[in-house]
Amino acid sequence: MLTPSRTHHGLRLTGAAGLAGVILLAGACASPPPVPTRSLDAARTAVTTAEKADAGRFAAAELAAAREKLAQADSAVTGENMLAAERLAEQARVEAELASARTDAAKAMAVNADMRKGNDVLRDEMQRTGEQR
Amino acid sequence: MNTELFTRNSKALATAAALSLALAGCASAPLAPPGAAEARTKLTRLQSDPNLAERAPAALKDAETAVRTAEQPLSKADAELGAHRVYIADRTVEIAMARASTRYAEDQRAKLGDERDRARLDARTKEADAARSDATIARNDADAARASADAARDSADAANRDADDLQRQIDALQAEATDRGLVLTLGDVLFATGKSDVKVGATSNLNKLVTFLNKYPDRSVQIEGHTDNVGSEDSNQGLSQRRAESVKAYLVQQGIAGSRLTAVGMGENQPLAGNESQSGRQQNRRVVAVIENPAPASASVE
Repeated sequence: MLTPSRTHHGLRLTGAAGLAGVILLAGACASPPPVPTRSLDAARTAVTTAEKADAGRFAAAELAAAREKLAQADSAVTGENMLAAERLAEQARVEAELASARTDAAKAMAVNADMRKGNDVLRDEMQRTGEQR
Repeated sequence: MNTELFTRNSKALATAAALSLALAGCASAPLAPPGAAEARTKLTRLQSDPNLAERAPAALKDAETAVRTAEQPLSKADAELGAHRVYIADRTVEIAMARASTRYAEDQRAKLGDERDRARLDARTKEADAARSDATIARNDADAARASADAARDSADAANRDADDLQRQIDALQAEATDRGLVLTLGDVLFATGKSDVKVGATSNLNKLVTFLNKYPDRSVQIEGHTDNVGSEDSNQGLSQRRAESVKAYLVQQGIAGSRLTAVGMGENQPLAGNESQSGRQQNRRVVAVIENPAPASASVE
């Protein structure tokens, strides 16, 4: 918003060379740091992935922490604290990845526990059958 | 790619740190941020866990990178960055641990599946064995039942034969079956009046009794002497006793064990007929052999 009007002003007063200098100056000093879009996107994707994996059931604390960090990152963007926003987005991402990883582990262990139980039942049954004879 | 980002960032930051160190030489010596050592300890524990160390190589590499980044010395001014790095490192190690645990569980699953298959196979084998042994038992049972039916038939046949035999013998003796046993009445033809010795030539009835007792050695005999009322009661008592003894002696002579034989004098008190007539007195003079029924214990066949 500011830049075009200055540019327009500069174009009238000093010409092309002056324009380049002003743009350079404006870019270096006046423009705020960019929004950490990549980190935020990565965090959001990671949270969505965890949610889809049913982390709400298997790693509820981690998922909640990830969402909280993501919300804080969004707030930081609003507050134009881009460094904090980037770090919080990073933290939200790893937290969400952890939620997914722990969900996977919990599911895998649940499957094994089921199998183990099934095997035990089978073995018990055999034992009983053996004793009846 | 995140790792790459980290690496790039950390390189840049390290350079920046070195630069700031060079510029501000007087500042206190930078240290690894608090918590970095704990992250390293956690990672080391994971790397030395035999069940987990080899199971998530990519995640472990990420964790190693994150921990190394967290361990980089920072000045006090960069405390926030340090805390951030430690947080990331800690979580990354936890992720590696979870991934390795998942993989471990998956590897275990193959083993559990094998176990289950083995258990099922065992169960089936056992079932088959049991069925086979059931069949064998059933067959054996049937054989045994058949055998015992045969045996029962045999023994019933034998019993029938025995019973038939006994009946024939009893018929031959002309004995009377009573509650006391077989009662065989030997008439007075055995003895001369007033005599107690068995008449020679009058022994055919007695010989039938011998035959019978030889065939059924478990039976014992009570031999009872009876008289008519001729003479004194005392003398008749004595006479009846002597006649009974005489018959016993004859039987012993024929090879019957004395232990099976009891001789009793009954005197004149159990007449069969009136003593008024000659024929009645003749009926009353008699010896009766009571062949006892075998003791129930030895009666294996009813």
